Amino acid sequence: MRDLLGALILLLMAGGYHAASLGINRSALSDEVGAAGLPVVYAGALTALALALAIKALVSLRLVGRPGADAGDDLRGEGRKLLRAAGMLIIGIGYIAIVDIAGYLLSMIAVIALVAVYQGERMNRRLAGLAIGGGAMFFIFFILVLGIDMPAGIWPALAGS
Amino acid sequence: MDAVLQGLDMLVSTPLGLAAIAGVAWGILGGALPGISPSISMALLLPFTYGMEPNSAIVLLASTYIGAEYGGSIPAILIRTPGTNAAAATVLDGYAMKQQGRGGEALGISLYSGVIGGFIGLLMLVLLTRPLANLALAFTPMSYFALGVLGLSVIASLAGPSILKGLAAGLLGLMVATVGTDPISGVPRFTFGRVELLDGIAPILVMVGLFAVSELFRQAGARAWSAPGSGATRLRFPGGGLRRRLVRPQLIGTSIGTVEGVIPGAGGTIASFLSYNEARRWSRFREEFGKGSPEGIAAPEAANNTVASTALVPLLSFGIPGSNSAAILLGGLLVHGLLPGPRLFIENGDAVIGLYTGLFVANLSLLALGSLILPVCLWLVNRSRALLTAFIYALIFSGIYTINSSLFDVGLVLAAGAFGVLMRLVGLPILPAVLGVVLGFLVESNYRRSLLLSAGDHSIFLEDPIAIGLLSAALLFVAGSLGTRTWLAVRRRASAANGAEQAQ
Repeated sequence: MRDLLGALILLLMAGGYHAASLGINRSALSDEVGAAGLPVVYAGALTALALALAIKALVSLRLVGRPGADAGDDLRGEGRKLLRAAGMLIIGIGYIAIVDIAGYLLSMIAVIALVAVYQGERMNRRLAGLAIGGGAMFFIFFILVLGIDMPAGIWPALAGS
Repeated sequence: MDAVLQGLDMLVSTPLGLAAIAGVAWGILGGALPGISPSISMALLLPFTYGMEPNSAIVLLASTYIGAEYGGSIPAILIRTPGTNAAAATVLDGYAMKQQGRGGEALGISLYSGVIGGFIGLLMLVLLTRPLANLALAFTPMSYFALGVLGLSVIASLAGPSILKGLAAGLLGLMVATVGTDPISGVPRFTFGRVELLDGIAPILVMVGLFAVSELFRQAGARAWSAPGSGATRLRFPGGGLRRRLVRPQLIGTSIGTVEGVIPGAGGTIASFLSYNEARRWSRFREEFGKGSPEGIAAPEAANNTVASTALVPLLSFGIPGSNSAAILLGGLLVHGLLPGPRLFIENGDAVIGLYTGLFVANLSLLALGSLILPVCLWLVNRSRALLTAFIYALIFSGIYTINSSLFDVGLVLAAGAFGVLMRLVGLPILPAVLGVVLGFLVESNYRRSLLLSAGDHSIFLEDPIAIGLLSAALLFVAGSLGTRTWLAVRRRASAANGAEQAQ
């Protein structure tokens, strides 16, 4: 079942990539292959590999003679893992969304606290202290020591007004 | 002799030595944390090397690899959880020794054998790299195209149990490499109107996303590792008698490590398990294996530390990274405008000498740092996985932002991480995809340059003897791997059917 799912994902990617490659402009400066030449070849090759993988998966399912009801066995439990991973991704997207507003320091504190809680730590004073300390450590290292221009958030504008 | 003097001069006049020591320390700490592989430790460090002087940056990354290979044995011995894949063989006897109250002795054997493996690996690296690189001096655009195809084919064939998936992963990498401005005509491709994509997707973003972020995502629902407790474990080096007993397994480990390291895709894990088996086969104390044999630690540790150096042979000679860690190091080289291959030795000879010198210092400092840093490793392994993940996640966001001061890059890394989770779910290997991204430009630009030379005639690839040789090797490799796997699968099915018949 895992291989079939893999084949499906690859087919979708090949299709999407091929569709996007059709939108590549031709240039008068282009060589014979053209800017879209290799992308079209790659999409075709990926389609062929995905189909081969799907056929192989179907044949091995048939050879093993497993009933359809058990076909998803090798993916059991993966849904929960994917959901857990999606949570981490959402925290990351949240960071990108807020860092320009809240600024680097507060965003770092929030990321450390949120990820730790999401991974099973209890929110208490100790964790709050660790998150603030960690955020401060990152702030000192990246902004004060390395001199990186991290997002300042709305605070400088508020202070100025 | 001149090279040695130049290396010594670099040590005195540049922060090379410091970078080597810092890399080893970071590597040991990273390797000691289960789930943080050498490549992840290196990927986390990669964004910080941008502003560094090239020689020190490369040495920092390469030393991290060396440190991580030893670091991986610490949790393998103390909590029966290998910190790195290559340390899995060390669990067998390392943990047994720990249970017998000989954990410090096991750590000492691991460190001592690792340092020996590291020095022999470095010697092999110095001896083998230049002659191989000289071969590449005769390369034409056709040969370079064929070399890229061969590199991808070998890695795709060896990187996982399915060659189809390996090839598909390599293709996905090549597809990512087409994002950005077309190298010949300057037409934008797959940029979707985003200015940030005009320069393409930097391999570093894909590496950090696929290796580090996807691993953090994957571990989001994993159980916490068991802590070794706060009891003191003091590292103890082997005495004279034991050192003599360890010579044979160390020789086996370094020999296998040399061969496996030079072959792209083989890697430290295979080397350490092969060495363990061979050490048991040739041991006078075979019955001790699995019950706390010092030889069972010495052989795999010597092997995986040898691989840490010899895996750089195909990378420096031809620009083909043979392992995840070598791929990250290639990313580091490219970031600093250093192109591996024969030109590297001619145009940036000091970078090569700097790397050799740095690796020497790294192996030397491993001896001291291995015992000095052990309490810190124990402290770290005793922390909760949740907190460590939180700090690593924050470090990735900060590190990636420092490269271009771009939140778009952070988003790309997250996207690559999410895609990495999908790849792992369906069993697509990561390394061919990363290699595809790294080699994509080499493959496409040389393919099209070749066709420009021949006015679009593909037979030009059959007129270049090196290209013919490399493309034939790629074809043979893929066909051979496919044939071997099919034959093994048929045999397995036949023996399973026989077993079922006999049971009836």
